Amino acid sequence: MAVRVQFENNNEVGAFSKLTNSYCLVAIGGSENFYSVFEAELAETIPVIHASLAGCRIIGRMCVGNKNGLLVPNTTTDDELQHLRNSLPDKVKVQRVEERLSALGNVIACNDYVALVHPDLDKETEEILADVLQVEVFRQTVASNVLVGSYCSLSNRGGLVHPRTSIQDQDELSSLLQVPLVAGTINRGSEVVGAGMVVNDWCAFCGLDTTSTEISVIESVFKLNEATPAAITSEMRSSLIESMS
Amino acid sequence: MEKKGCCIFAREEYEELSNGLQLAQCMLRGRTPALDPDTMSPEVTKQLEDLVVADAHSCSCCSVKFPNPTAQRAHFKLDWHRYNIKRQLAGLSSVPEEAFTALADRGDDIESISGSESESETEGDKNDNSELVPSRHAKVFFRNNKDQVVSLYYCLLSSSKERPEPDTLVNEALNLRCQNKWAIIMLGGGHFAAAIFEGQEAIVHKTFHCYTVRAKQGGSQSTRDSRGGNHPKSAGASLRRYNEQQLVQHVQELISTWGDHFNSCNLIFYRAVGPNNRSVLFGGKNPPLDKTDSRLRTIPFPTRRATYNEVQRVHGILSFIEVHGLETEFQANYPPSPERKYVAAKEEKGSGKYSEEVEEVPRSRSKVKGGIKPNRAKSRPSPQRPLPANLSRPTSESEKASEDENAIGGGGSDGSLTCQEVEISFKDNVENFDLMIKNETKKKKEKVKQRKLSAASYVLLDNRSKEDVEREELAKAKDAEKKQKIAEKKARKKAVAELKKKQEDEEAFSPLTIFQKELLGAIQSGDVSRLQTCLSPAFIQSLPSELPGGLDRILNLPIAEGNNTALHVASRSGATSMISELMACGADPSTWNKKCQTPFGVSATKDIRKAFQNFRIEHPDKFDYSKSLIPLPLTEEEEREIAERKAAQKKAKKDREKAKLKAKAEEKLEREEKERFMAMSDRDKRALAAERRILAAQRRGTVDEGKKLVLLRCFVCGSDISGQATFEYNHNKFCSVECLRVHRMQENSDLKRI
Repeated sequence: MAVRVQFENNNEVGAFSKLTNSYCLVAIGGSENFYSVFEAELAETIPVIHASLAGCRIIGRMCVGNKNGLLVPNTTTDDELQHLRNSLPDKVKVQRVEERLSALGNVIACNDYVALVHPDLDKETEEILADVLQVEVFRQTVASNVLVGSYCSLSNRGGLVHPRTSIQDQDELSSLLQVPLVAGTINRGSEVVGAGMVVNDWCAFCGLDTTSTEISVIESVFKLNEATPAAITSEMRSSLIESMS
Repeated sequence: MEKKGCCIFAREEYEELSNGLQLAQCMLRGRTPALDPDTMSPEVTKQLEDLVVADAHSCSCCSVKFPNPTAQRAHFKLDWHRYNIKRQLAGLSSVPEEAFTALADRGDDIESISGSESESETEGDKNDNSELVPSRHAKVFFRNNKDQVVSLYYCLLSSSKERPEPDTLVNEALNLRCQNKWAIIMLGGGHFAAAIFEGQEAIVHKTFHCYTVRAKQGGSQSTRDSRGGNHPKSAGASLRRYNEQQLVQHVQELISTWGDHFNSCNLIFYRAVGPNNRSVLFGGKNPPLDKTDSRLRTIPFPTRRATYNEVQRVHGILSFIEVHGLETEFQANYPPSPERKYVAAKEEKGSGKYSEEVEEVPRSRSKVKGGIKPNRAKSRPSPQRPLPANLSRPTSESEKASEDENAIGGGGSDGSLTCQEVEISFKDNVENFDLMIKNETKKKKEKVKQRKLSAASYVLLDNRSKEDVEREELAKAKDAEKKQKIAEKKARKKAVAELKKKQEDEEAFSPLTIFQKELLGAIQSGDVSRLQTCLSPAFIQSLPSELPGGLDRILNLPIAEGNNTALHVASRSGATSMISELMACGADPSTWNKKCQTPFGVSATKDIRKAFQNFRIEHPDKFDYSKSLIPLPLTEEEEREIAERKAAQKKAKKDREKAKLKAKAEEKLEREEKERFMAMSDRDKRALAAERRILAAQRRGTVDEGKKLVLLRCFVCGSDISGQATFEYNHNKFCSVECLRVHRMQENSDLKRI
């Protein structure tokens, strides 16, 4: 199900939160209303962790992660890292990354199996990405934009990309990532779909301005209507099988 | 640079230029059809209906196709692909694989793609290039069928901020010639200029000036007044206020007289900066111009003081259609927006060696050909400025130094800086001088001395060996002296020790020590007879020599640790008979030990104290007892009194205990009764209270003062409140308001529960 939520009158919820299949991070210092929306939807299944990174609240843009791990920029303080390690499930690996493009959330888009990254990302970061998040890494742009993390939102079941992505590019990306893709907007016409929403396999949160049309697109492309946390495990994607073989 | 072009009202030339007019390529780029978030496009609906993972095994960026998905995925990790992405982002064409491998083998241009370390020069150029977004330019660029690029001011074509469709823009541009009646109004700083043009001719025009701007300070008088504070009453101020009003009036009058002209105008350009000027045109009860008029346009470039000349110039600029030359050339010298600094595109330099191959590689997308959107993800390279001369020199020196170090040390970490703190004090230098002088004088002295010494005995080869020998001699002498000193010290120590021993021996055999030892032994053994023998004159006489001072003096000397005398020791050890014995021999009971205690004070038992007292009674005049703290014994009467007092105390204590027990019992009874009372229901409590009241009334009649009866208890805490003023409601009685409230609350909650 897709839920509308707002962070202090700001629609870019993807900037202030990070959602994966095994945990959810929310920025500290928000209103209780913001947290309660996440906690009401998720608290039964995955931990909702209040965190900051390098003293910033735009954690969604700073870090990247999936069910296997979490990468944070090297500006993250030791205390914050310790807090994350304490709060995250044990199987989730947390690692700091020395990367020049420190807003990892903007330059990397990933689900549990594949990741699209900024063409300029460091080779070492790419290796860490493959090790910690256990993903296959592809360097590509989305609608001629290098900030793939900002302009694309991925889950294991589908993906939403920048509205100006050409059909050919969509097809290429879709065959590369092995998930169906749709070009669309969020928050009443905003192009930054990565920053405007967060999604995992059974739940999505988008800005309060999102229209019902946009919501319906999101729900159908991410297959949120049929999804429950339990159904994910039973239903395996072909891409998963392929990547494991 | 001379601008090429013509006035749009010049018929032939304009027609020639506008033949086959269409929007230039640069205007189309970046244009995107508006998305409506409220409706789904049919494409998306179609996509959503059958969501499938596409199987387009290709890479449009590198223009290659793959036989299977594995090959595709492998491709997306190649450096070749990455290189092509970067080229695409820079607006360049992609490179085929063979060309790339050749390039990689040469290894010159490949540096920039191996990661995010260094950004090459090409990128900076690209960024500059991408700054120019023609779709936001003040002018609209068209292309005619002669492949020339011509430009018109956008404000001639449309008033809306949103750029209209290309077709409407072209139509507007073609219609422009027919709409040739323009009004231009300029207003600012008290100057007003307006003119109405038909074609290139001005039909009417008017210019005037009012004194409204404050001299030197600037700004209009009304802004000064509205700022608050004092309201200037100077002649100038009032003049300006009057003139402002006059200006408004004049403008309104003028526009109303030109009413017909204005109504027939196709476009009205105005320049009125600031709220004051704008209010002249659009303010007031019936404004001279309608704000919502679609013909109204602002002048899209800076203008000078409002004069008729300026108005004519503005009209000339607006009506000028500029020709920029062929479109292919236009790419290279594209005119910037007025406020932007133009940097010539250096595509040739950036594209490297592959500019010739651009045409050969088929492109799937044409839109990437020219500039692109600014890439904000890239950090801009910080400019490298030379350091100021005085700063740069030391660093270069230190670098040199570190290089040297590295060379010596066999290559340490490069670029490491070493820091050394050197303290320089003037004193050291001076001392050095001092030493030199001293050394010289010393040497001279030594030489003289040595000559004297060695005159007979030594035959010396040279000065130096002489000195050496002498130094050896001196060292030997010093050693000997030292040894002698140590020996002397030892001897002295030995002597002292011997002396001490001797003294001790002597002391041990002195009569005083023997006597004191014997005395102490006698007292500590508790043997009275031994003490008696010790104190007897026979024993004293048997000592090797006579005791110094008499027996009574010696007895009062301390014999044990802590300056305790014999009497102290006896008193502490508890031999009763010894006390009188010692005191009879002259041991003073008022001597103090180290802790300022008298023998009586340290006495161990009551018997000893009694012994002291008895001795005092028997020999009241032998010592001065006032300091010995020995009390006088009590008389019989006193003793009796004490006994009586003690008996009374005992009795009182017994009584008190009895009373306590009784009270306890009563309290227990009372508590039980209270508990019983508390356990009752409110109704029973009330009944009991009534019963007790009746009982009390009866008893008052009989006057029975026997047992006190509790007549009334608080209904909540159960405390006795008989005879007190009570707080009550519903015949429930309480000791205090608190109890009442508690009861009430309880009852309320009970009611609620029911």
